[in-house]
Amino acid sequence: MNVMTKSVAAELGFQPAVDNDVPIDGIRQFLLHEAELLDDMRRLREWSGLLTEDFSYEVPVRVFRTLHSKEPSFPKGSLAVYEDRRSIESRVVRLESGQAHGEEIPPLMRRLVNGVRAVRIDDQNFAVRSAFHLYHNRRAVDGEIVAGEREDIVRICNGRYYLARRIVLLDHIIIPTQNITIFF
Amino acid sequence: MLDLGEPQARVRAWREDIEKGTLPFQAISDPELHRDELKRIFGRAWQALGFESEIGKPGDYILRYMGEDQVIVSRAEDGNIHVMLNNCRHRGTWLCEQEKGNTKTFRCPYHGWVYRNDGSWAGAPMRSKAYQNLKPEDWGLLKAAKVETRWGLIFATLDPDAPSFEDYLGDFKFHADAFFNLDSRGYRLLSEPSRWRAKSNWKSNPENVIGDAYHVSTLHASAVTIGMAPPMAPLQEHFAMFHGSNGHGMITWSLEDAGMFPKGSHPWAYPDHVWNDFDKKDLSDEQLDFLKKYTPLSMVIFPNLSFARLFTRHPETGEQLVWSWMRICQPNGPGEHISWNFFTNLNAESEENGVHALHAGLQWLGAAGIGDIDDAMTWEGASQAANSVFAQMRGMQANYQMGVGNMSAAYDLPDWTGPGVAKRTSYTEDNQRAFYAEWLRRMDDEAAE
Repeated sequence: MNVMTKSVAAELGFQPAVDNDVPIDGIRQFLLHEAELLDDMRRLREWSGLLTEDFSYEVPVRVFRTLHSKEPSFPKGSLAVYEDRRSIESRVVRLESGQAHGEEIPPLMRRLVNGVRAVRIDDQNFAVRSAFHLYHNRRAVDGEIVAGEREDIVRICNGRYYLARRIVLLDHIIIPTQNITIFF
Repeated sequence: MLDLGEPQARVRAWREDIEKGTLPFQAISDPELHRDELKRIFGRAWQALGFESEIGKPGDYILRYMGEDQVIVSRAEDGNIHVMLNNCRHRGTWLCEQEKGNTKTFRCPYHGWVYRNDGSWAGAPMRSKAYQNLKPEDWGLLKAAKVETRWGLIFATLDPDAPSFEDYLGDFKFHADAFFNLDSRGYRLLSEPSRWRAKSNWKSNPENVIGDAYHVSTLHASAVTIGMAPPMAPLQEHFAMFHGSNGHGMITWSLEDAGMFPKGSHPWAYPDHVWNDFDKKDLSDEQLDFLKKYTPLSMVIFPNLSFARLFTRHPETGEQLVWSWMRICQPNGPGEHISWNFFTNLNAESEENGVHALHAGLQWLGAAGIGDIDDAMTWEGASQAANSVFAQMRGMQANYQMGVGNMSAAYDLPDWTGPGVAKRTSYTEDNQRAFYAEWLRRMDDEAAE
């Protein structure tokens, strides 16, 4: 079976990367666990426990370009959202206060995370890409689907997995949900 | 169906209502009125399109909106700015689908009509056979009637009879210029604008920014809890509301009096070394005095252009860090709008400060801003109430009575000798009434110029 698969792959010009040095299953499970926590806004504090002290979260602004444009779709420094460990702690406290009117009506959410690929950066850190669809429904019969890609750094310390950085590249130029009270 | 009266008669009746402090919800987002609103408000008023710096070089262009219509805003070879409807004159095909770029010409993909970046018709394939007698001067792109720049911003109007932008500001020019003219080197745009979609008529947004300080202690109580805002109750007496006669207005707060800044602080408590470095040549002594006493918090230039200026601490040095924000509320049907968000600091300030200013601004405003998250939720109901049969049968009115007659602890600002109207305390909806009075004036066929 393996010989057949390898020769077919060679004809098509794609060589799957098999890196025994990357704990891809562990990383995948981590992302699924993390997505489950994010789906329930009551568990945001639990989710924040997965973040490193130096964690940063960015959603850059997408500028729509034509096929042959040489300009970047995500111009450097342009942001729709920026969070760090401290601002996330503030958001958790805000949610726990009961005064966050916009979030007391929490959206119903379901994240599907797929297309996970990872590359080792160093001893502890891995660059991880994943694709997601977030189904998001606040009060309505029909919700919205937000789609995009994440470029993460996952850090493994003492066998435990943490999120050290997330950059979210959305497949939208106008954010379709009324607000982003959530993390992708 | 209920006979609600002929639309113009309704508008005229509502002009009397707003003086007394009531306004039917239909005024906010009635679908029948929406087409009228697009023509009478967005077809005539001055609208902001973006920053001059976004189209800094000849050939640069951005796609923006006037009302609900997409326009190309381009910098021609001679440096002038042109605002043109993004539809080919031949069959209406969209000429340009890239939001931002640089080009000398726009070429329609359908039949190949070409326009220069100033909108003039430049040719078509096999022109000598296809268009022997076509008059190019008749077939250039449709252009906005007037385009002006002020404060580093680009403004345009579709109305050839509109006054100059300066005259449009009228008696609010003093306040608006004071807000902007801190330093002659102008503003640095810190990011491409981000956009999100809100399920409310566009008007709910600027009517909040122009004068609603009263909601902060309730809706944004969480901001106090997490230390992003000071306790609001003691501040109510220190707000002052200003508006002009053309629908523009601002909220200010006297933060020294309120004890939030030490005596002798600069406006917004800019650090000494930053404030002293500003080239304030375009600020009069009266304007400087105004800024010190009544520090602008937020402002609206009618109809749909909002601003705010707030502050935080530099994460490392702890120094006061001021950030500014601008919003264009693009109407998108009677019950929805697209919110465009721009963050700036001054070119005179460091780029490094700009990064922190952007991060700080995004905490409050934008799709993930805690201010916007809560605000947008509360606006949804108004647009839905506008269509409610129950509400219409009962003639349900929105309440704009705060500050009318003896209703509230608000009063004319003592010793105010400057232009426009000035009220003390946040216990008034004076600015909101002024916003709607202008909207209604423009919606009234007989009143609007």
